[in-house]
Amino acid sequence: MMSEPLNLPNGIEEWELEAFADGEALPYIERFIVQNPALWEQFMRNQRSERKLTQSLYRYDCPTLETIQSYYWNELDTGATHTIAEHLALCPHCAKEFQMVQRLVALPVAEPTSVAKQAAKRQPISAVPMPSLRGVLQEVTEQLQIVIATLLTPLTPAYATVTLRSDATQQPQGQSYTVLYEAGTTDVSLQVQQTVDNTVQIFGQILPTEPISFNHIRMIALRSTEQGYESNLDETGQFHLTELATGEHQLIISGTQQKIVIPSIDLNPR
Amino acid sequence: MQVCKIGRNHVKFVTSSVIFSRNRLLPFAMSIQEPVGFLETLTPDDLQKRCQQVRPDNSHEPFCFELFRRAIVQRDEHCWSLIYQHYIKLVYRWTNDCLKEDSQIEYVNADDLVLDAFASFWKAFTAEKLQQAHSVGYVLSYLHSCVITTVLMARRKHEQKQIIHHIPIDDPVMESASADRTEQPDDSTFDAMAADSIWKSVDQCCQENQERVIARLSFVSDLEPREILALHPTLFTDVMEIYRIRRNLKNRLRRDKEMQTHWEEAG
Repeated sequence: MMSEPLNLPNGIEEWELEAFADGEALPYIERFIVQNPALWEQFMRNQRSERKLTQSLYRYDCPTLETIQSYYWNELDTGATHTIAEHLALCPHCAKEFQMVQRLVALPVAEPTSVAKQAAKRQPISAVPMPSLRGVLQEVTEQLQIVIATLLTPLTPAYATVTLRSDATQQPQGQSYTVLYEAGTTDVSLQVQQTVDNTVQIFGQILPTEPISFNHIRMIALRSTEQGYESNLDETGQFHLTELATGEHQLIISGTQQKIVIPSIDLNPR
Repeated sequence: MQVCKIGRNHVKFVTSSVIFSRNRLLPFAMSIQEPVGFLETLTPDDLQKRCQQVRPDNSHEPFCFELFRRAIVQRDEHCWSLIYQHYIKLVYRWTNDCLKEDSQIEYVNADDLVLDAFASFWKAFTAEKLQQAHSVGYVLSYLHSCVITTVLMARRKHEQKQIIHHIPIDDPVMESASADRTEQPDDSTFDAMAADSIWKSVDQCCQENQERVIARLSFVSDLEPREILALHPTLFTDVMEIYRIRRNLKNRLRRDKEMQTHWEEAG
């Protein structure tokens, strides 16, 4: 914002340069710029400098989208509801976001099968092939690379052989348990350990039975505002997460061709 | 709405009604003639199978609802997985619908958004909310709202990136070039407390309502004068008036001691 004042000749104002820069039709400013390129350069420098004000203030007081969602579902107390309503009247961006929630959530909810059924009904008998809702759904299904893992419990001896194979020296000491998940052709083994500082650490191993490579994992705490945890897998498909908060988490294992998601892992003490 | 009387252990001839079961309201239309507590005897896989058999009278809904109940109230991990499997295509379609509405976020990975939306749903939809739910449609509407807010969150992130690096809209090359820098944002820029303090200084420099409106919409909402005029057509005579007022305000901010201190602190 510490821009230098421009030394403009009489009859030319800085706001006119700004209007021209925004695309307003001001032919006399265009002629002025052609004749005074150095002043135009200084003006542009000033503009960049003044831009810092917007960079610092941009939507600085906007409520989170979770709060807007809670406002939509009428879950906020009276004070917070009033605050959000006032903000929506003031902020065009939040108002637009709220309108989008209102507009889209108000649409009738259709489950995949009934949507497909409706699409089939609407399909003209001798129609020229064209993108239909069913086609779109098919397309969505084809690009879907997410595999949902299911828990294999209790851990039977048959599965015990594929549980964690990490280095013995890295094995957690103290109370721990192992859980095994199945996700398509891949198994996921997690050894969960409670630590003395009331956090949890996980030693994990991905065991694909087909040549699918995974390289990254992300853990999201589901019932708290805790930040997510991320880590890369080593070349043997192992990972180690430390200092996890107790509670429910979601685990996402990403690779180039596929993502595996374990929707809910309970890390509360057992 | 018809409320049916039920026997000690059985629901009778229910078509479109409210059903009471063990002090619990099963508040949706159903046409099953099954013993009360029947749902509780089913395994999660049985529930999923019946939930998948969509019927015009919505008689499949209690099974879907029971899956949600076990997942949310009993925190049954297997039920979570089955809900994912059952609804992931729907969530995917909602996500794509949202993304299609907004060309600015076309570079976002839909897979990530789908998973974030589910995570957001698990976070937000508690057992207390499930008690208030009057149908599976309500639960799915809530899930739908989680999808929309997740997509909007991605858009906010994208916009923030554009503002910080002053990237022209729809310039993927510039966006890609700035991606690394965005991972480590300038703390001073993001410091909400500092922003609050800067805004107070700006507000103090405003001498009248017109200036305050322009300051708010220019500096906080990043709107151009034409957009401000469209929002407040009666407050200003024309767009040039907005340019004039904004320039006067910027000149005042340039001279303001407090503002000068802010910029020195920001380096």
